[in-house]
Amino acid sequence: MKKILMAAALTVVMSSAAFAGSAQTNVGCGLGSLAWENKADDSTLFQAFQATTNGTSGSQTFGVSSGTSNCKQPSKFVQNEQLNKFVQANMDNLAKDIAMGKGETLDTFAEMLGVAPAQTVAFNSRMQSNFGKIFTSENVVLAEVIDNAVTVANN
Amino acid sequence: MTHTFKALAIFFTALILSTFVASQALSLDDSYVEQIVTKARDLRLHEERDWHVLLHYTKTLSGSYKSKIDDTHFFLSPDGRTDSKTELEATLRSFFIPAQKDGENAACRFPARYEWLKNRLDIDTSKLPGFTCTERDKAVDTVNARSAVLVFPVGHINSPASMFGHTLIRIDSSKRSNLISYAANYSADSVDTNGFLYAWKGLTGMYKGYYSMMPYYIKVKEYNDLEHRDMWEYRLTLSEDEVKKMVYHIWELQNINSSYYFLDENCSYNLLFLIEAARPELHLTEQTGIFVLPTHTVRIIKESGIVEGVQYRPSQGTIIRNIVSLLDAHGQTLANNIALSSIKPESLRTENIPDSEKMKILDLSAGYVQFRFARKEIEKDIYSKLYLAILRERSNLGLPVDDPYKIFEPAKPETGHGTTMAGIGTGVRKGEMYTELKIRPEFHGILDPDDGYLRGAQIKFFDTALRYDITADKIQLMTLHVVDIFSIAPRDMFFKSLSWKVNVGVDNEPMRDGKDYLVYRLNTGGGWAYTSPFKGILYALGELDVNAGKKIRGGVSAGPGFSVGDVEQLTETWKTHMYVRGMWYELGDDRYTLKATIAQNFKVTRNNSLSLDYSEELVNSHRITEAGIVWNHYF
Repeated sequence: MKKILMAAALTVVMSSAAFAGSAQTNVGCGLGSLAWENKADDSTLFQAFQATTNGTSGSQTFGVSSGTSNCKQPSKFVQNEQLNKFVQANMDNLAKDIAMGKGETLDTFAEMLGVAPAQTVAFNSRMQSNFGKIFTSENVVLAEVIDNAVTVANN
Repeated sequence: MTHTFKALAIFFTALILSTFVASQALSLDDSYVEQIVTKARDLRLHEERDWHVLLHYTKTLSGSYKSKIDDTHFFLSPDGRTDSKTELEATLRSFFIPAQKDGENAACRFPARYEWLKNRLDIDTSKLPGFTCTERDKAVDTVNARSAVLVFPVGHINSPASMFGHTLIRIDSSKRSNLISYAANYSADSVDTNGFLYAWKGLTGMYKGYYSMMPYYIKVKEYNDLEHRDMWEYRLTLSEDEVKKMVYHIWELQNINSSYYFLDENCSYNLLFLIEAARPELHLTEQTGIFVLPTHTVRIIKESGIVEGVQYRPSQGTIIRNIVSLLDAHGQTLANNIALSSIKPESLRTENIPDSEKMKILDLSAGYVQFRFARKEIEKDIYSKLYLAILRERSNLGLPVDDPYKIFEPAKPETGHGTTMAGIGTGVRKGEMYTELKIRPEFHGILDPDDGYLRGAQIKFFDTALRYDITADKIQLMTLHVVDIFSIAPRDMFFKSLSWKVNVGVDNEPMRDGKDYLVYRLNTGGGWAYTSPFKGILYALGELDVNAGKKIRGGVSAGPGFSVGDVEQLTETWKTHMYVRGMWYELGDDRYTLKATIAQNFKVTRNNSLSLDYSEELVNSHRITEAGIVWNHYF
């Protein structure tokens, strides 16, 4: 089977100090991790008066170069904090897109893995056919998702 | 002795000479700063548009300039907020202060100011103390700015805090995917979840507002997925250099606070400064009025000519509703049962329906399960298991033959009627002719044309109607509703929305004797709504009314009641609202009212419509008939 991901992307860079994980608790690293609390609670009659998210919790105003995620790093792909954070925050939508065989989250994932535009259809199809090999259980974490996706793409 | 004396003399002369030379060299460097400062003064740079934009100076009523930013950390001079000249000179001088550490030079904190002053004054950078700005450069490189997009998440139907929508700016890089672009946003720093407290503090400037920058996917998840708000993305024609200037300015604004005022100095107003920073020739902030609504700012930006296209991003809610509409009742029930764990996703295998239907059913149940989890209806463990089971089943079905989910794109938000309305009309009430003047400063009524607005969401502020009774030669205040919100959201198998209303104000209405008098009113109600067979909205609400007025027996009365009605869009331009309302003012009064109304609205142009109302009312045994016609002009 033709390899979809370029070899260069698969080089694992030796962990430098910048990426040395601090607390790798793997909490919030799988399905169902939400990036917010206390928002849009529809459970009361007076949902109408609930403050929604035009406010911000203010603690981090510039989320551009902020630290590494607390999740275990994938081992089969070059260290890429942007990719890790993206998968962590969008895992549910990514799973849905892979199951459906298409979608914006899947396209973004492919681009971040370095899949060439000409290969996208083949990549998406392979992901969909191997859904169970990528999302192995409901407890799957981002490192596994990325590693499994890379394995599937190149087998 | 003389040798020593001579040596000392030479030594001291040399010392004095070198000190003299050295001091000359020092004052030469000093004088370069002074040269630059003098040049800035001569050019009157502190009066230039670019400088005002970067410092957010706006003209006050007295004609002087004052920055909209309150935070003292934004200014390098203690008088910086009100004195643009002092601030400019302090900024210039600050560049010449040698930095001890990386990132410490003022140029690192204020790159937009630095770039502009450097170019404007032709500053010789070799005469500046060397500096590095590693953290800033890394952030700017990460953002990798190429172009900008104005994003408008529409209003949230069930939240007063978000009912006018929001605006943010997305900064696109060279990457194809937009989800990983960074988005800039201004919002109030609040963790209050009590809506009333949030409203009060937001209105009175008690919150601090901050600019922030984060990956766009965070905002898409927040608005699109969690809150089910459609988003509109307006691509801007700002050049790459202009967008880079914007990013520099956003960097200058990080961790800087301003008082957040919900009505005027809000998210949309403060976003305009960012666009002005990119292209100072645009005068956007000064085009805003007393109240700043996000749709106004979208219009202002569009009219400035920098919008080149708009993309519609439907919310999860819209997507789910679309799939529901493509399934028959059986398919909907299957999807619902799967999402509620009443049946397993695998049970679809034995259903005698085509694969294309099975795909839709599973897509729908997956989306709906996400919705249930976001609303905390199911625990995470149950969610993960169920969600995965659905998706596993779905992945076995492959791709659909065609693209089944074409979503109808609604009218763009800025193409709707103006948010202020003035109306003039005439009619007959109890056999007497009248002329009517209506004024409604904000925002949208249930009968107004829906294009660009949320269907079924009425939000009115200071809705006023004055009538002139021709025969009696009397002017009468008929209505003054300080707040009037009426939200009807159809329920279905998947979405169990509640409909509700609240209004506070003054009405001129029939009392026990059948004559009209002014009463103060506080009214609220709640109930259910459904999609009618004609694709309109049928509703039924229970109501509670509290009235106070001279002609009320006890002065104050309270009573329950009901209203049932139907809102239909009969043609593209013709809308009707038919309703019956009954109230029993038993407590504090002996008044029973029953009123049936048929109201029509015809959209004539974007900003003009014609309303026709007819009503029959029974108050105790008195019958009141009214018919009227009003020309509504929006602006």
